[in-house]
Amino acid sequence: MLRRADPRRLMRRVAPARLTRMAAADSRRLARRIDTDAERLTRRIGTVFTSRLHDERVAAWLGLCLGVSFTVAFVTGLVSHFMQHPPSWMVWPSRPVGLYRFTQGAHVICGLATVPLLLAKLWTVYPKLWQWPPIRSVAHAARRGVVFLLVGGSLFQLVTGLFNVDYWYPFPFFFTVAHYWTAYVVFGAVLIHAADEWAKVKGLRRHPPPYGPSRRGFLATVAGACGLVAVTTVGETFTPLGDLAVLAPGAPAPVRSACPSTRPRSRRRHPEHRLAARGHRCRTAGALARPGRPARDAPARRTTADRLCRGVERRGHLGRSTAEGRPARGRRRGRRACTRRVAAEGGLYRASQVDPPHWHDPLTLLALEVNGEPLSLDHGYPCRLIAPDRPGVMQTKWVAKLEVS
Amino acid sequence: MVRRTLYAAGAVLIGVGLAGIGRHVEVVGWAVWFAGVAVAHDAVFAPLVLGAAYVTRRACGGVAPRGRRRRYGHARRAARGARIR
Repeated sequence: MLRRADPRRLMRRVAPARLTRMAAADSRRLARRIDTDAERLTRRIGTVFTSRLHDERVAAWLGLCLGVSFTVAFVTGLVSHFMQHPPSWMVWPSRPVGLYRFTQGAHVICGLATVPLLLAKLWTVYPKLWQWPPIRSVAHAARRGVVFLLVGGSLFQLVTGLFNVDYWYPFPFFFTVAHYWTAYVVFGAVLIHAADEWAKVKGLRRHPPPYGPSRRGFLATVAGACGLVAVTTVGETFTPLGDLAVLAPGAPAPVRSACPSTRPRSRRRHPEHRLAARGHRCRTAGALARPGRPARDAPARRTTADRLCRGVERRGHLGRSTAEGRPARGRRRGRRACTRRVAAEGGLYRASQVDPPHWHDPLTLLALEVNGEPLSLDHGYPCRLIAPDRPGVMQTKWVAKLEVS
Repeated sequence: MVRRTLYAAGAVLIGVGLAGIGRHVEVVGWAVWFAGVAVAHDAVFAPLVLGAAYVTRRACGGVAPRGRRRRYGHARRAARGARIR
């Protein structure tokens, strides 16, 4: 008589240690099967990349160009950061007047021109994503980790930078801070990747690639796309090409309504608005401009603030200097002035510091008018700072207080 | 020596960047965007481009004319060894 075995009795007979071994063997078999399936899938995906443009030499050429563009973007980005947050030992010069404009133009042009370059490079090396085994050793894992930082960081910088060009911030972090710190990660990854791949780049010189039309055409297409992006952006910095600057930041709107939520409409429109000046030789406050009344009729006192303001009033233009508009040379050397925008409470750029090179520069103005007309509210009515070779965010609008220390 | 210097400088910069992100940036949101753009590229954008290339190739019956392929055959053979896999 045959009796069915009771599974519970069977389980009792098998020693627990053996059970553990059986479970481990099962899991190993399962892992092997998954590995085999994944390998088969990966190898199958690998057969999709038949183009000869997935080539080490194409990747090396594109990588070389990316290295240059990332370096330029990193250095010019650091210029912008340390201009806005200078360490104590650093003083940014006020001349040449267009230096900051040049460095930031190069930053934006390089960043935008990097978009087609990076996409081409990622397309070229895309098969490497599907290499098998995915990790061969600890060193290989570290290398792939750095490549992830490089790819993710590069895309992050370009995507958030493009959003910033359009003044659209859908991310939960502050753009400039994240852009600044991520730049270190990306550039560090660039250095390590360059050290890894330098042999291939050197090989470009030793063994010139046997160019066929398609490889050359591919590189020429990428170069053309980068050039097109650069030409349609450079007008932001180089005025004669301004009409072509369709990709320039903020285009086509020429004026950005800064801080719409904190614009001090009511307070700044008030006829009793005054500029308070404090510090060395600045003991008083003067009314600046009143609606319906020319600014030059405002009471004038011999303070540093008044000297600057009245210089602007008399000229009626920004950018032209006269002796009356300058603070006395020599007397203020070594001091720093701080203009402060009172109404933008909580804003990051409500105060800016004017260092000696700018303070003594005749082009530094507290402007009341532009081209004979009072400033518009968006441009900082009734009074704003204009100084050469400084970022726009430091040209403080709606100035209410001037502190000399 | 140069290589080691580059490795060291790169590691220091990455460390500085990550430390700064940890201190000054909202980390979770940053990480989501950092990984998100990479995944969006590798899992969505690149396959779409490859699919478009495949469809175009099938529709056009090949990229290069036969004569050109033959003419640049030596380049093709030379490049085969260096192709990225």
